[in-house]
This record gives sequence, structure tokens and C-alpha cells, in this order.
Amino acid sequence: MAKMIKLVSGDGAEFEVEEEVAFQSKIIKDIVADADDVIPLPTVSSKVLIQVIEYCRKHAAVNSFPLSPSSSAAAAASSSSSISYSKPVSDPALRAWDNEFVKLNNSSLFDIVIAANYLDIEELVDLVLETVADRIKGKQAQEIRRQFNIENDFTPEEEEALRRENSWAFQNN
Amino acid sequence: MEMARNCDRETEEAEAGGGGRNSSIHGDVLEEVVSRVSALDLLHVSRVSRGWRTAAISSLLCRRRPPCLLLRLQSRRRASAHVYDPISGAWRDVPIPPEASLHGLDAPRVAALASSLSGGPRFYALSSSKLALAADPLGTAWRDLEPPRCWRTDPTVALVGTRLVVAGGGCALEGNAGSVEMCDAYGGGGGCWWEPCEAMPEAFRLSPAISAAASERRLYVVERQPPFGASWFDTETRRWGPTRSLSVPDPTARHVAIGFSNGRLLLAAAGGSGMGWGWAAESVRVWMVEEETLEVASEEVVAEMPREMVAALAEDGGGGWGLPSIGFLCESDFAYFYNPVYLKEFFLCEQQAAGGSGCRWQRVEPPACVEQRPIDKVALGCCQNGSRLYKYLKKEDKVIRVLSLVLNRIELIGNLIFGSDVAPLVLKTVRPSGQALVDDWVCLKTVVQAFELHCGSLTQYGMKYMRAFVNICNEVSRRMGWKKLVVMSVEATTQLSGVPLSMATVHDLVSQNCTSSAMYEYRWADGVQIKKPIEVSAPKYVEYLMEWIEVQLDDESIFPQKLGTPFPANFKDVVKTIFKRLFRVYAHIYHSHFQKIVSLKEEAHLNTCFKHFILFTYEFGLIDKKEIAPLQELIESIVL
Repeated sequence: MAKMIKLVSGDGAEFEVEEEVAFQSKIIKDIVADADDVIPLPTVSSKVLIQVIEYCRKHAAVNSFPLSPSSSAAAAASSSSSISYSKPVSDPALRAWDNEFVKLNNSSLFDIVIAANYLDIEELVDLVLETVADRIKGKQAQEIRRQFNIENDFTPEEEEALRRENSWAFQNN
Repeated sequence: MEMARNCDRETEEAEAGGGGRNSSIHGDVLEEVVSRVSALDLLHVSRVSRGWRTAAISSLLCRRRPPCLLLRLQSRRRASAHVYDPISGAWRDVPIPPEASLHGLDAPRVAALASSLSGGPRFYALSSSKLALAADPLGTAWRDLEPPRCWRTDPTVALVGTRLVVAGGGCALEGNAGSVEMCDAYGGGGGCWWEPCEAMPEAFRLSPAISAAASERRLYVVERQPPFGASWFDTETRRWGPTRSLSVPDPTARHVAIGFSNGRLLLAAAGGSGMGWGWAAESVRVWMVEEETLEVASEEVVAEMPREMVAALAEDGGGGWGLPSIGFLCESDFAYFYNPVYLKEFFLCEQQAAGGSGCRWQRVEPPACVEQRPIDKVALGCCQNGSRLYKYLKKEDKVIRVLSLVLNRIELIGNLIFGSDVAPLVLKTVRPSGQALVDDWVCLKTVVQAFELHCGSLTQYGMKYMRAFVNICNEVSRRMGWKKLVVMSVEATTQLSGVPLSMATVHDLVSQNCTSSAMYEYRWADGVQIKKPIEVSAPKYVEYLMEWIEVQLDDESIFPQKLGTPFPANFKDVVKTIFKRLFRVYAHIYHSHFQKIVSLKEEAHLNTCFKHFILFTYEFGLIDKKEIAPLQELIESIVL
């Protein structure tokens, strides 16, 4: 019988999860070692917690068979040529699942990364940050602003100075 | 549980434009995201808003980013420099000023030096009459210095703090074998006063292969092969420290190299099995070395190269040398490993921050020029990126872009006129000497002017295609008369062939795949054969349209063939009609066939052509507003 941990979200909803799923979060792992099995998470809303639990559940199965150093290095060697800061997920099925998982709008992603950061779930943090970084890559400033709903707070003079400073970088195709 | 996720299941495209929610990222999260973005993208990131600019700058300066790998190749005839940016994963050529690539008997040979200055030079050039130090890590500019007093071949050179130390390599006959000189490379006055210092210890004087590393104050040297004698030279006291044999924890180690980064002295050793010529490298490991006593900290392996990579490192295409020595470049938490004799792949290692697990390894492909032998000399260095580096990288980009644009257009024109099988031959022909280069100079001038008018300026980069122009001119004036050539050029560039597929392909594409009923129905009438507008399918429309345009272009009363013949009064209306109809083809392609275009990987080209098309029509007011309604959103994103 798997040990169950109870997580209480910011709006009071309770979620029971298996121990190994909850232990994806290093914080929870530490807390449970010291104290009891009911863990309040006041800064995490239910909606976000549900998504995080879903991720942990999926990855708990994989992490119960830790990779040996040589095979994890091999996984690193065979991943794509650009160096990524996240641990490469070697199982293609899991990677595909991850890609589906992050098909969310930006606000949801940010909520998840903040929660994952709070709970110290390294892989989820990396996954979301990479996804957001991908949404920035290759875009001009105006497109980035539109994508992330950011207000341009440069004065026109500052913009002009910036444009001149890096003029070669902004030639359009 | 699924419901909550489905509410949020919108793709990023749907997010564009907001939606009212506060989706801003800031602070630490923003910095983390920005640190994962390629350095070239950072320039755009820094323009988004003030907060983003701060994050971008701090990312460039403070974050751990893999260092760039600098490569200089010198062969008999030319020198070239390249830099590898690990974030974008690409090699770039670095333009070298001509003085730095001198060749001749007394030519300076560029070599790498150990340097403790992070933004400082990684290369130096030494000949009997001069010494030059690169002014920046890439080696695009050089500073001349006084050469050291003794003539040396292959000395150990290092920049220790701001002092340049030259050790060894002197002539044994003159008793200068191990002489050491030091000067202040960045002292005032531009001159450089070389002071002789205590000579190198005996073990190093016979110039065995030496690996050097520099800290802020000391130069460390280690023999690359057993017995691995090591020592250090202190630039303050100008004396050498104790010499000892390094006790490499791996008893099978045959080659070592050292480096200094993050305040630590590191030792990389290649160990293996076998005897004599049969020795094969099986492991590459890195340990820390205590700076003062040169004691190797054998308990902790800082990094270990995965087996497959060691095998790839030692592989030399059957030359049988195995791994004759090991190349090791380190900077902050990263290191590059390579095989200096048989230069192929590089291996980048990132050491995890404290608390992390071990290291991450990655292979780096060499640039294409490395494959071409023979190469006399290779010099390698690595440096942390600074924004200055990107100035050079981006400038190269611009050149490449202009060149490829010009070339594409010339090839297109060639294909149209001569047919795609003959065109390449025509474009590249070189007439035997003795014949006139150009048959008709007036023709050439007009062609170039027409090209520049419609395709954009040639610029200095495009001048290299002058031969192609000349050939086109000569052939055409031989075959059909140059006026038709001008018309053809116009045809080529005014978007008839804007879509990269030829007309036949467009027709095929549309007729094969066209089952959609477009939102906007089109009717065809040309006023000559078909007076009343008839409803046609999209493929038919395209067919009618192309035939009709051909007819217009051939019609001498509209597009005059003879120079000096005036254009008709309704010329603009004719052109407007052509463009209006062409627009419909674009609209149809975008609405109905875009997926197919994407699968052919042509969408970028299509977008660029359409952009030019639209800007051209805007410039001359060729299409009415209501006509362009079907692609209004797309146009706004281009024009604004």
C-alpha cells in the first residue's frame, strides 16, 4: 500500500498523492522527513497544483529507475546539438508527453514555473523555462512584446538610441 | 482534473494580443528564461522593455554561458579565423585584417597564449622582428610590441595579469634554452621593456612539449608527457617555484594538459592501455591541482569524459597515432577538449554548479575548413562571450544575406531566359583571353541599372556577380536582343515568379490540391475572348491569368520593345490589373495551400516575396483597399 501525502492548495482544496509522486518535489521530501503528512501550500492555487501533480505523476514512474552515470552521459551526447541547460529526457515518449504538457498559454506557464520553483521540482522548472525561451527565439522585439503582453516603456529617444547602437542587428530580411 | 487543463489549452498563437490577463514575467524567472536564449536573440530581447533590457544585460555579463571557441588556421596560402558560439551552435568566419595574415619568410606565426585576462587576447604573433598581441580575443586587431631579446622558436607565452611572459624556446647553442623574459604588455607608452628573469628549471629547457596555464600572478607549466614535471613562475618575485613530478592519479596516463579557471588549477589527463605504439586512450579525466605545492587532489575527479567521446577523440582516420596529446581549454565552469594533432571534433564540458551532479558533455562539429588539408598551424583559444563578439558575428550575417539575395535573383533571371538546364553554364562562362569581355557596354549598363532598380542595390558584395551579368548580356544580345532582356528582368522581379515554384508548379499545386471553396469567390474575364465574367475554379483562374499576363507582356503597344517608344497612356491601369489579379493568386495560396508550402519548407521565401509584392503595390498605389481585404491581417503585420 503506497503511502499517501496530502497537499492542501491555497484555496483550501485537498489532494492526496502517492509518496513517490510527491517526492518529485524536493521541498515536500524534506518537510515530510521532519513533520507530518499534511502539507499546506498557501501560494499554489488548485488549478496549478493539479497540473503540477499531473507532471509529477508522469515523471515519478520514470525516475524510479535512475539512469546510471554512463547512460545519462550518453543521453547527453545524443541530444540535439544546442546545449540545453535541462537534464535531457532520454525517453522519446516522455519527451513527447512533456511537449504536449507545455502547450499552454504564457500565463499558465508562468504560474506553473513559479509553483515548481517554490516546490523545487527542477525538471519541471527547466522544461517550462526552455519552452518560454523557445517562444522568444527568433523574434523581433515587437513580436516578443505582443507574445508576452509587455508594455514598451522606453521613451522615443531611448528607442532611437538603441536602434542606432545595434542597427546592423535589426536589418529585416 | 482534465477540465482545468482544457481551459488553458490554447496555443501561443492564440495568446498573441493579450486577453487581458497579466502574463508578465519578471525578476528571477525572466533572467532564467533569458539565459536560455541565444546570444543573437538577446539583442532583440534587450529592446523589449526596460526590465527585459536589464535581464538581457545581466545575462550577458553575469550568467554562466559557455565560452566561445576561437580557431585560427594557417596554411601555406592563407590564414582564416573562426569562432564557435555554443548558444546558437554555429561557426562563424571572423574577418581578419590583411596585415595579420602576412606570409613570407619572416612571416609572423600566430599561436595561442595562455591568458588570465578574460577579455584579453588569446593569440600572439611572433617573428624575429616583431611581436604582436591580439587586441581582442578574436584577433581582428593587433597591437605591436617590441619582440623579446632572444630569438625563440615555439616558446611558452602567457599573459599573466597584465604581464607578458615568454619562456623557453631559445637557442640551446647560445645558452638561451630556458631563458625567461617578462614585460608589462599594458604599461603606458606603448613600448615594452623586456626584463630577463630567472631561467626555466632544467627539466623544461630541452623544450619538451609544454602545457601552460596562467593565473593572475603565476605562470604554471607542465610537461605534457611522463614524468610530468611541473613548476610555476611567480611574476612578482620573478622566480620559479619548486619543480616536481605531478603524481597523476591515473597510472596509465600518457598525456596531460593544464588550465586555470575559476581560481583553480586543473589537470586533464588521458589514460589508456597498451604499450608503445599500441597505446590507446581510454579515459580522459580532470583533477584539481593545489597551486602552491602542485599536489594533485586525487580524491575528487572534477570531470570524466564519456567513453564514446574518448574513442571519438582518439580516432584519427587510421593514421595509427591514437591520441598523441590532449588539447584542453578551460574558462569558468566549462572546458573544451580536442585532439591537437588530428583536429576533428571538439568536446565541451560543463561542470555543474555546487549541488549538481557531475558534468554535461556535448560534441561540437568543426567548421568545414578544418577538413581541408594541409594546414600548417592551428591555434585555439576560448573566451567568454562579450557583446563585442556579436558585433563581428552580426556583420558577417549581413554580408551573407546580401550576397544570397543578389545571387538568387541573378539565378532566377538566368533560368527564365535560358532555361534552368542551360542557365548555370551561361552564368559561369569565362571567355578565353583575347576576346572582348563585353559585346555591348550599353546593354550591360542598362541591365545593371534595371537590375538595381527592381532588385535593389548591388552594393560592393554584389559586384562579384558582374561576370554573370556580362554573360547574360552577351548571350542575350547574341540570341534575342537586349530589350527583351530588360523586360524579362522586370518580369522576374515583379512577383510573377515571386513564388519560388515555377508557374507550372503553381498550376499543378493548385489543380491537384484545390478542393476548397474559398471565402472569396473569383470570376475571370479578360475583355477579349471572355467578355462576361465567368465563375472558374482556382486552378483555371491561375491558368487564365498566367496566359493573359504573358500576352500583355508580349504586347508591344503596352510593354514597348524598342528603346524610346513611349508607354501607352493606360499603362498604369494595365499594371494595376495585373497586380490585382496576381494578388488573388497570393490570397488563394495563403488561404488554401499554405500547409503544403510549409511542408515544402518554402514559407519563408513565400513570405518574403509577398512582402516585396505588397510593399511595391503600396509604393505605387496599385491595388485598391477592398481587393486586399482577404489578406488584411497578414499585410498589417508586414507593413506596420
